[in-house]
Amino acid sequence: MNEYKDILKVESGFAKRVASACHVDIHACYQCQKCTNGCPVSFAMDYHPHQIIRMIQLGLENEIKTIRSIWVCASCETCFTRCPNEIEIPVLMDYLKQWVLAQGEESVEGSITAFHRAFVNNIRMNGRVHEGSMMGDYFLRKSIEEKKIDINEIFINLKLGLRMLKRGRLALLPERTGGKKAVKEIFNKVS
Amino acid sequence: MDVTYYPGCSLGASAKDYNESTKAVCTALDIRLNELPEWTCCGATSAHSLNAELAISLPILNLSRAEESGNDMIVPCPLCFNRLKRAKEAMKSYINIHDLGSFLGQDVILDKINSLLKFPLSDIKAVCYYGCMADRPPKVTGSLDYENPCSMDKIANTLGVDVKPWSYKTDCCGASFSISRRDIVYTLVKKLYDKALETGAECIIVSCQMCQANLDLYQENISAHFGEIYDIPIFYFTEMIGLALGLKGVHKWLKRHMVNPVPFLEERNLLR
Repeated sequence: MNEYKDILKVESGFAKRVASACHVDIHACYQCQKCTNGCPVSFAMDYHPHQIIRMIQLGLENEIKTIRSIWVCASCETCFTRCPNEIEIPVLMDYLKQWVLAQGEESVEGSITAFHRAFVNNIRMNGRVHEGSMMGDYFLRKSIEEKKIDINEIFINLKLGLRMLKRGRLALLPERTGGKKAVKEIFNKVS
Repeated sequence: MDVTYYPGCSLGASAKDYNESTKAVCTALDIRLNELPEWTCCGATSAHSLNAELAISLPILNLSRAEESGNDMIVPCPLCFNRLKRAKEAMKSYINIHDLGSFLGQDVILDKINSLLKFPLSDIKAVCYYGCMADRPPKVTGSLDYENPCSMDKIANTLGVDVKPWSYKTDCCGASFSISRRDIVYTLVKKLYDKALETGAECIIVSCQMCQANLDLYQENISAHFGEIYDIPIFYFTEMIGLALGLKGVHKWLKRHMVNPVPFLEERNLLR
């Protein structure tokens, strides 16, 4: 019987911990699959929303860490809008992203994580997002996360950026806002 | 009418056409937009993905500022609108927050638009594409028609547009994945193009600048990627209003599009 013991490690209490940490009623899910059926990015997911909830209910803590779906979730809120038990799946997805990163785990979707970090960093620096510098920061972080430089991707975005610049849709300098100081204070206060 | 205007970060750059057309339309409708002084980013998707406390603090900061004037707040970007509505609930603010599409779709505004109508857009067949954040989740947005929103349809109808019904009004365009996972956006947007064309529509009218970017900026790439030729102008509903009311500056906004809408409009004698 020894060869079976490592197949699935169940962490008892995982579901309870997650549910109370993010205030999402995971235990109310009865697998009706409305969430998965309405999810626009389910084609890009490895595990579907209802499966992820089931995995949490079953205490499969290790498996959750490497799921792509939590990153690929577009936060479109279709699942939550339709769930008969009002399970706030988008909030759960956000919590799981933060939980994975807090564990010190690497994100399985490096470019998505890099994007979020570049975006938030830009808010911290400028008070508003300056798309131009945010893109530069994004490519730097993406290269570090993926341990390679995606020349093709950089080239495509540079080309697009130039065409946008020609049409006046790219600001070379960040907009200034007097609110920048207050934003920095928020960043300092927040854990 | 005096309102507080919260443009959001994109409208200064990638969505300049939306900003310009919104300001022109509101001026024509006697809606005075007072840009929120010292406004800062609402946090959008990335903040709530990384830190819940940060994500709610950023829009709360803006709403606290808005309480200095107390006026209703108009928000052209549905994502900012969504974040601000959550902040309103969190801090129990008294400020009324409206997304631009629903605001301009009110009967009293439609009557005003009708009275100023100069050039009916009757030769345009279009679908209206709303995206996610203006209506979902209804708990946050207060939207009643979240599966089939109609405010833009009503506006377009008033302008004389031949609005086609379709089932993809609120199907996600992939939002910020246009940068980090373009492949996802390509798949989602191709479906939107195909479904729009199936109805007989020749263009798509939008009320979100993220959607406009995904449908407009990448149309050439998406065409090449799937071996198809898509030539579908993507208009902001405010640009449509501007066209129909004969407002100045229309040419300037339209020139900013990646998919050139000028031939489409000239064919229909709608560009003066």
